[in-house]
Amino acid sequence: MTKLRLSIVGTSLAVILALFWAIVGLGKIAPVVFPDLQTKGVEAVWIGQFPNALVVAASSTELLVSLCLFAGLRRIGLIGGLMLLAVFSGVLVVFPVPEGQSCGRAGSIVGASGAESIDPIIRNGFLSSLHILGLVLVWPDIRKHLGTSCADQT
Amino acid sequence: MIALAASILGVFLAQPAAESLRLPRAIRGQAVGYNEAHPDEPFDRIEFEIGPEWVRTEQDLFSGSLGWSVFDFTLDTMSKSLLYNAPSKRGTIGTRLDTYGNSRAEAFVSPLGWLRTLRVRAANGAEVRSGLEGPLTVYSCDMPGGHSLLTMYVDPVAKRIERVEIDDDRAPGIEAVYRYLDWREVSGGFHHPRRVEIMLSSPGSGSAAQKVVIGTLAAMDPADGPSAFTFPADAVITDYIENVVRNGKMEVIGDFDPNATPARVAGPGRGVSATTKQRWFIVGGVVIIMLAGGLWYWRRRGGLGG
Repeated sequence: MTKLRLSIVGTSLAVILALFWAIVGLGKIAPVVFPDLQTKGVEAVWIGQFPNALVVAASSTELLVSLCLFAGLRRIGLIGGLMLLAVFSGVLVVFPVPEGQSCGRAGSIVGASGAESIDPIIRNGFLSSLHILGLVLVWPDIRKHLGTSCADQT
Repeated sequence: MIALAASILGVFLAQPAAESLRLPRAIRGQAVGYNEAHPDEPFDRIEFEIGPEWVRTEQDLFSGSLGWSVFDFTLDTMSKSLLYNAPSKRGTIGTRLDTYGNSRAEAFVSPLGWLRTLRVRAANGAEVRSGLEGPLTVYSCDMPGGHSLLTMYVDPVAKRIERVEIDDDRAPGIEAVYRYLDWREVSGGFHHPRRVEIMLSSPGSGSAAQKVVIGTLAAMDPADGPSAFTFPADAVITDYIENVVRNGKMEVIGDFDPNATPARVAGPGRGVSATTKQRWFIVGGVVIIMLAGGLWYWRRRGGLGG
């Protein structure tokens, strides 16, 4: 019963993270595909700051992570999401966001919730913790695997 | 007292006026900038309105086939200076024009702002001197302490600001030279350059050249003042003058602690400081990691019954 509950929690978390990556991925690529979306004062965050190729590459990777999570490839999706967050954080460390500018990633979602003013690396850390929790929840029972492995060796 | 009077008189005499240089007192126009690395492709477009005591600029960045995208706005008056970044919807209100005498982008499109810079800096304690260097009149502005802020070269016959060299005290090590070229009449005998060439150099990254071509240009009545901006309602603008955070309608939505690092900026419509929110994010992240660790340990111990 507990196993079932944890499985439901893990699946729910994976779906939430899949939705998250889908929204941030679409949010980045939408202004590239539909330039008319850009209106004065309500600009897309990435497109004004990075080359189109980079915007498309980043959004495609995010959409791929989302697709993996939706398709049931949760471990691959969660590890992919963690790697993306690590890359984004690494870039932020090397090239800090200038004062008064958004970091871009996830700004379209968290901006509406007031989290846009949060340090992007802290935000990435929080998102990473959700991915780690998701991984623990969806990972196969390690004890069973270890047990099998030990039995084989003896 | 005599020395003080002489100093004040000297400062007064040393400062050139727009009229004496046959520059219009206020202008509006549009310019396109190019970087040396891509001379055939525009880098940005600046719409500007520049007056003796106010500046309004809008900078759009060129995005290839997508055309122009708005990047930022500045609206400076002697009472407050607003800088707004459109992609992030974040902005600041400070006292830049009143303190330093110049706006962010005006030097790239017009020499007019340098006259204000000299005036404001002199009023704030800098020493403005003038002298001759060959056929040119040279105005220099030395900050208290001896730092040479800027040197302005004026052709006294043609009454034109030829170039300005600046070593800004706010960006140590970065030097810039602005050359104002292709002067044409704007109206009534007043003239203005149509091309600006800029050379920026810093010890670490070498030098970079930019060129700005001024397309449209017209004289303005200084009394008209700058046009207004309309910001998105969910913009977050930190007001460093009143230590509050405002939305796009300039309504106060939160407090701002000037001693906090980083600056506490309330999120749109929440009225909760960023520092508090960040703490919640950190605490939340740590709790989730602990939960994940506990769950992992519990499963390894057979918490699910094998």
